[in-house]
Amino acid sequence: MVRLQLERRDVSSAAVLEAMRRVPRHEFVPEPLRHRAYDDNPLPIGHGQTISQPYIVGYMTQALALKAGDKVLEIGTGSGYQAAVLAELTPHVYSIEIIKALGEEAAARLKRLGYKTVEVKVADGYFGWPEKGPFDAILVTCAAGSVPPPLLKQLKPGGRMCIPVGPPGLFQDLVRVTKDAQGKVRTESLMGVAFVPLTREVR
Amino acid sequence: MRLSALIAGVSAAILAYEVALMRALSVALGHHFAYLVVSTALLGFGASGTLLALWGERLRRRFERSMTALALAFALAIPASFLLAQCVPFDIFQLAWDWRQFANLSLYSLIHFVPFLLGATCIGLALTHEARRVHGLYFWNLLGSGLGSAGIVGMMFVAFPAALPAGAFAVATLGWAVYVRQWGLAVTGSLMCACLAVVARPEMKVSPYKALSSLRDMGANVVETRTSPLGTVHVLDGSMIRLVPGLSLAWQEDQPRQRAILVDGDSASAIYRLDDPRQAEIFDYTTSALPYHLLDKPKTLIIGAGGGGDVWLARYHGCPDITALELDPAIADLMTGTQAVFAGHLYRQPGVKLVVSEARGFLARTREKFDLIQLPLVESFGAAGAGVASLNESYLYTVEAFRTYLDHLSPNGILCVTRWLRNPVADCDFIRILSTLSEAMKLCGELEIRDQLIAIRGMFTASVLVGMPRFSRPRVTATAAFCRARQFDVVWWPPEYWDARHVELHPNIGPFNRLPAPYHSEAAGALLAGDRDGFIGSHPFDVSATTDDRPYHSLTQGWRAVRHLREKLGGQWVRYADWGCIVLWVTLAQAIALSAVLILLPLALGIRRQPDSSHASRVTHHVSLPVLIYFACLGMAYMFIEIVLMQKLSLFLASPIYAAAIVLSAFMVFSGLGSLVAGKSATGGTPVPPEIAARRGLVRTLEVGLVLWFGMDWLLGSIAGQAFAVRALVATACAGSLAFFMGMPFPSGLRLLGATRPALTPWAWGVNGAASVVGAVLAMVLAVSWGFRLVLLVALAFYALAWRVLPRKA
Repeated sequence: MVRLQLERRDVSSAAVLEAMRRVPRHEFVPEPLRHRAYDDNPLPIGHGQTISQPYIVGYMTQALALKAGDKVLEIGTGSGYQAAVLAELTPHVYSIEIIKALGEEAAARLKRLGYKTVEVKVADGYFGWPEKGPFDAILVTCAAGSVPPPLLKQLKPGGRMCIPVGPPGLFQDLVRVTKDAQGKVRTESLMGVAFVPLTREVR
Repeated sequence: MRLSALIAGVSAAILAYEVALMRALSVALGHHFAYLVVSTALLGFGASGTLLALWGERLRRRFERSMTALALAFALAIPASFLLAQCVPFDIFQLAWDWRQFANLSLYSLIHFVPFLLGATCIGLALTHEARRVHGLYFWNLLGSGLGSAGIVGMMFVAFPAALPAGAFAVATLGWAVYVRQWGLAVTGSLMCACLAVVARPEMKVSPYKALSSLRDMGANVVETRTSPLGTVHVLDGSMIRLVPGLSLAWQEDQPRQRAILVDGDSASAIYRLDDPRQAEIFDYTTSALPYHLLDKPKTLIIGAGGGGDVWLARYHGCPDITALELDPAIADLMTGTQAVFAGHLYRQPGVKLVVSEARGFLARTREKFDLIQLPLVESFGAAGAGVASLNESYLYTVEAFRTYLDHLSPNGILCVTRWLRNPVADCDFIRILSTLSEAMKLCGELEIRDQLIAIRGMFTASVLVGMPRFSRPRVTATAAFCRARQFDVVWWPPEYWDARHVELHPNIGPFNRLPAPYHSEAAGALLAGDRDGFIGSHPFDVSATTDDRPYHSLTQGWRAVRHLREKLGGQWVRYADWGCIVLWVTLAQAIALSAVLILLPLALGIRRQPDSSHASRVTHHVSLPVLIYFACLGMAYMFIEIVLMQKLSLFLASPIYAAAIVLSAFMVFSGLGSLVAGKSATGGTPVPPEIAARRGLVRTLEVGLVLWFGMDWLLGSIAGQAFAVRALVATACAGSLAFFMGMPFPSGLRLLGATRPALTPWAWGVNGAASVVGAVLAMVLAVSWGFRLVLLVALAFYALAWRVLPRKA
């Protein structure tokens, strides 16, 4: 998967590639679809949600430019796969899921697989996790029409946020938001993504 | 008489079910896939001809019993197929990479195909068995179709999409029960079904990827539902609903409490819980707020008021006179009725006037001038209720529309158009708006395009302003201040105002929202002050100006665009592809391939081997060719003209629903009358020979068609401002005059064939059915590429070709 789907494209960070190699993706995929866990596409995980295409997980992780020890917030836990990849890079991973069943399953799965430092809570990700912030990086996997102000507030100066944005529909735009040392915010269009409307990015 | 009633009942049920299925699947799957599935299912008409050509003799030997069985099977197949299809595990989202989903989609279409096959076989059997009564039966066939389509559109006002097939089932049952003389069953059964359809509110299995499913999963509650032919409206309440399109990054406060309005399970907009205009500051942090910083309390027209965000913005700026247009009466009713308290009685606030109307129709009927005309993020609507020809046409973003808006601006007025932005690789929506707007300004004559246009963009949306007269320096300075405060970027303003004071806002210097290249500014430069034609010609996407004749603003991708995306993105191109366009082409290819199989199969398997005992003529490919051409031309041309008129009249009547209802009803009723008249002589003596009746019908169709081709735009334009009743009458006259003559050639052709080569009549019925389905899709492909006038011309060419292949003597 890593060699064919990531290295051959534009995911080149050695740390990210190594993290992707370590995480057993099949553990995050529903039993009937496990034989397709390493395919080059997203897969449904129930509740109209999906586990992202491996390439997008790698690309978004790389776009955050994480350093060891960075504190990361993920909005949209889903299966927990993205949180596990992040946890391979830094122990300080916080993840929020709005759908209770998914959040609880993902928390149990991460614990079972040994990702004990990942904290998961079931809540509305719009408000972020102010008690644990500010964060060096924020990864949003639910598309929105605008960047939630509470998330911007919880981003440290010098921090990076990846968020899929755009009009309703299956195809959106992945944007990197950066906050400079003076707190000035800029955005940068990265690539097109396909996502589940109003909830989660998937491709 | 019983047979006529049966034919009318089955025909009404088929049309009603087609329209009902289109509505129901639009809610469940989305409009594009509904179009694909229904188009495939309609090939049942072509398949019925194949079936009758191969086994028709057996059915004809026991005609009455066959008709009874077919009609009953058809009636039962409607609910059975509708319910069974919902069990197919079809997942749209996985279609791009999981080939099994194509199998599921095929199975889904095949299940829906069955009722159409049975119903069409029933009608085809009657028409081919009763060749001498064909004119009368065809009249009942068309009359039933007309009543069925009008009836189901009426039913959409009271019944939810999933209940609509029950209406079709009721009519089919009624037809069957009358035929078998079960009068009590006929009345009670059909009445019960119709009542059940209205009272019950069954829910479709909605795709989990639609906003309705997602919001429910997140815990939102449906507080209200409404339905009409324009769509099913759901109002959802939940703390997670936050929809302020294009909100600036500079907005640091929370959003007001909101409820989502979903149309057909998607296309979300919001109702805002505000009590006072002063609480509406959040809307001032969107790109569409700019004109309020350049004008002082303007008299404002808002096109597409929806949940009222733009009305709140106008109120925030103290506008004393606000006219809010809303197309959908259901949404207007929500905002002034049950949701009025939540919405802070927005439409009862001083100076706010809500008008339920389509924008072009409203502006055609008023001479009022406005200081500001706001065209916010209004997505185009499709005439989904019509079941055909509804691939995102929009008359809001055409050259003619922009000219109308500019004509209604006061001397110092501003027109503001706001659109979503997509990823730069495939983003041409906003560029096409600039192209269309600049073309409209050019046609207005006295306008200085480059000096009267300002465009800005945020991270998600862009707004373009056309000012009357040219923008002054103070207005440009105010634009700069607005952009700095909200972190928006300037795309274009009059070039002489770029100076040291604003240099940091220049697209090439330091945008707040960085793109790989300043695409929008470069496009604006080329379109407004450069080589416009060269730019449009060399752009990989279709960014030419949209016109009323080709009102497909959103369809920008042709094969060149697909090639471009594949070159740039390799296997990832599918993310940027326009699915509307792809579905249209796939539907056409599939319809042509399946039709070819259905048409050729009887020739290959059956007809040639059948000894035609009555006429002892051996049918060959050679002698079948004129028959093929004649009936294929009639099928294609009929659909072409029906679709063209539906589109033209939807603008004229300011309503796609009334246009669909009038065109469908007028076509069926007047064509039916044409069929009746064609079969009789003027003196009441011997019927007119069929070849003469067909020839007369074709010639008159060509004459009336050419008159409409030359004069219809002028006629409709000159009375666009009249009352609805007058316009409806003119629309009926236009459609009816042509349809009357179009109803003559088909039954006359069948009668001629019945007299000369009866073995070919079922096959001709199938050819006509298959060609109608191909014609409906091909008309869309031609309209998207070359416009409706060309489609009408091609239809007339088909009629001319049919005339050419018609034998002079039987």
